[in-house]
Amino acid sequence: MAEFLMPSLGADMTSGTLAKWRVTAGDTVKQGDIIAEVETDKGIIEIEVFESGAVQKLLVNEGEKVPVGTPLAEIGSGGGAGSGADTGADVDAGADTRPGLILSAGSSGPDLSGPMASPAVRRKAHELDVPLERIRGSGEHGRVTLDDVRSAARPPAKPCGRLRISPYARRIAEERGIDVSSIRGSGPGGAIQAKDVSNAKAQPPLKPASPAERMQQVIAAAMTRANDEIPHYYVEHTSDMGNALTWLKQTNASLGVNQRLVSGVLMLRAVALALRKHRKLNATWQHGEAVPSEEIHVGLAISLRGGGLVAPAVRNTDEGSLSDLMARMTDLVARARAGTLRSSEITSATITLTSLGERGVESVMPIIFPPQVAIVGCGALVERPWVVDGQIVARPVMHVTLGADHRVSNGHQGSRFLSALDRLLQEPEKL
Amino acid sequence: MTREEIRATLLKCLFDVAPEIGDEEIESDMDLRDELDLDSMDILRWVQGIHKALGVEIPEEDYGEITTLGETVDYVAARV
Repeated sequence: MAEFLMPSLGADMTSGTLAKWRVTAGDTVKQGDIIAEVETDKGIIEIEVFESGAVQKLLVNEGEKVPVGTPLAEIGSGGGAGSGADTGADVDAGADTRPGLILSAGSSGPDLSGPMASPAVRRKAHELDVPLERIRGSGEHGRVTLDDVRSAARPPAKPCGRLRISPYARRIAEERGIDVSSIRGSGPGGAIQAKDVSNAKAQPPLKPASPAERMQQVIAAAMTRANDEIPHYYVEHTSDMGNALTWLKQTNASLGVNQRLVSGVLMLRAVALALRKHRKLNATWQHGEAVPSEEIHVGLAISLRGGGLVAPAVRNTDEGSLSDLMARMTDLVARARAGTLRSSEITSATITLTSLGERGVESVMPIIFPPQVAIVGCGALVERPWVVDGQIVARPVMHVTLGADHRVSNGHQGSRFLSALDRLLQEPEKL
Repeated sequence: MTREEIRATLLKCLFDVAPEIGDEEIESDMDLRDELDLDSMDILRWVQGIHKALGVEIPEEDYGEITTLGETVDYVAARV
């Protein structure tokens, strides 16, 4: 028997609302099936199961908001790989290595959910309204313990004599939702009295954030963390895109409308192929060290017109034909815009590719998405004077930038990666 | 098929590609790429939608003739 848990789908996700069940008790599921939809700050995410078996029991009702790590359903072992483990115990020990079932809740998953903590600790943190990311764990490898959560939840000791207020005045302030620190007291020594509180205006209730605002808050948190923790370095190369665009034009002229390619897919594939020989950039930073990824899942930064940014992964970006990759990329972009991404796509990127479009700025210095250790940024395709065989000619060129984590790689390695990427773009027929 | 019907179909295909633009008013002479922030992937998906809905295949070399909704109505009306 395994428990299907509320996954963590981002660095700052502490809870999620179970929007919809796609299965009922008694249904048989297999690894990779979408069994639920969860509403998060990134929109509705389809959640895949990483266990095969029969759904024994649904533990959470639709519309219920629960902390990350909360069991959502019990799945009976049906002979699927890795089934039969007692997940509850495994999670607490941080020993479960299956991806996705406990997305990044254990120590072995990518560190997407902030500090390591067991579901019980996460539940307690949620109950006490303490953000886990702000707690310095005292357990092994920085694991947050129940005691850490309880300590963090205690109000800080009040500075003696700095805020003087009578108990009656404090009670009135609490009843009316007034922040006493903003009141100037008229009593002896500046003490706040009941009449001061009565004269103060209650704070207007906080307006709930819109989905776009919530998404921006999530991006802000991830980018702040990246800037605080990751020593970025940047290298840039200007690639001649003439060969790639000529090849694309000729290829598309012979293809039906549903098989056509866009230049973005060439860049996506070239990044993935260049990573095969530059594994240090295809990794995640977990608990103080870089863990290289065997598979290459390039995350595609997609700007949503309603505001917001998502970077779901095109999984195994280096595999399959170019037309297959194009189909997968098209599907991913469509679902990102429609707000129906899957949990595995949200959490599995091993590097990110961001492009500021065909008519935008010429170069971009992107910030790495934690826990990844590198990001590739493409500027607009622009026509510039270029020297080819000793002659100055007009060529379409693109500034390609690599932002990488200096704890993991150095500028020399980054520069070699961009050179490899450039060589691949010169031979588009091999992509 | 009237121009109005073509226009309505083109708009529906556009909303399928870019659901976020739902409330914006789309004028006939608006540059779709600039004003609606459409990239080449969006344009391709739009062209695919038009092909499916109306049977008109727009080759890449004609993309310069479909920069606005008005131009695209003209283009499709001549071929549908």
